[in-house]
Amino acid sequence: MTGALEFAALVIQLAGMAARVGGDVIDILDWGKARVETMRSEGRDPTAEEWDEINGKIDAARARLHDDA
Amino acid sequence: MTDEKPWYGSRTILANAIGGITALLAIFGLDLSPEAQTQVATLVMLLTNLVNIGLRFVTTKPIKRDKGGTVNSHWIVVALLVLLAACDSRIAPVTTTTTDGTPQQVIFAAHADYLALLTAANAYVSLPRCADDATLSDRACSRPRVVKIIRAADNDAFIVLRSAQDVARDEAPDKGTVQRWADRARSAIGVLRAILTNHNLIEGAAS
Repeated sequence: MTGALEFAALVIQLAGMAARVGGDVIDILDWGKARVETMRSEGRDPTAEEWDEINGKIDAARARLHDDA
Repeated sequence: MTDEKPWYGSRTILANAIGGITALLAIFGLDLSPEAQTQVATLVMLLTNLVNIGLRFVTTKPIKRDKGGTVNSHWIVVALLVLLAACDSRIAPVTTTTTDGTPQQVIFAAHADYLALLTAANAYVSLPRCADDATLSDRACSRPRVVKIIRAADNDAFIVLRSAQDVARDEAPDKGTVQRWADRARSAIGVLRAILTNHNLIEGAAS
C-alpha cells in the first residue's frame, strides 16, 4: 500500500509541476509577443533596457539548466 | 465469463473523457494534442489495470459494487484521468518565433522563444536523474544522456543568439548582416526545439 501512496504522490507532484511549468512557458511566450508587438506599434527596435531584461532572464534560466548541484 | 467491460475499459469513452477534460484544462493554459490524448487514454487503462491488480492483493473485505465494478475503481479512474491529463500536458508548442518585423525584432523574438525553451528544458533537467536505459516515463526522471544533449544544444544556441544580439545592438548594423543573423538565430533555437520535441518534452509543431 505504501508503494501505491508513493506512486500517487509522484503523480500529483508531476501533475503540479507540469501545470506550473506549462503556465510559466505560456507567460514567457505572451511576454515576448507583447514586447515585440509594442516595438512594432511604436516602430522601433528593442531598447538596451529590453535587451538587458531578457538577458537577465536567460542567464538565470541557463544557470539552472547547467547546475548540477 | 462475459464480454461486458466497465466503462473505463473502453478506450473510446476514455478518449472522449480525456478530450473533455483537456478542453477544460486548455482554459487554464494546458494544451494536449490529439496524439497525447490517445497516449493518456492508453496509459489510464494500463494504470487502472495495475491498480486493480494491486487492490486485489490488499483487499480483505468485499466493498459495495455497482454494475460496472467497484466504487473504488470508478474514483481511481476519474482521479487518474484528471491527474494524467495534467501530468502529460507537454509544454504547449514553443513556436512563436516571428519572421515579421525588423531583423532586430526577429532576433529579440528568437530570444524570447529561447527563454521559453529553456524553461521547458529546465523542467526536465530538474527531475531526479535515472539511468539512461531506465524504463520510467520521461516525466518521472531525467536521463543523463538526454540532459547532456540538451545542455550541448543550449550552448550552441546561446553562442549564436548572443552573436546575433551583438549585431542587432550595433549602432549602425549592415542590413544584410543583421538579416543573416536573424535567420541564424531562428535556426539555432530550431535545433534546440527539435531536440526537446524529439524527446517528447514539448509539443512538436511547425514553426
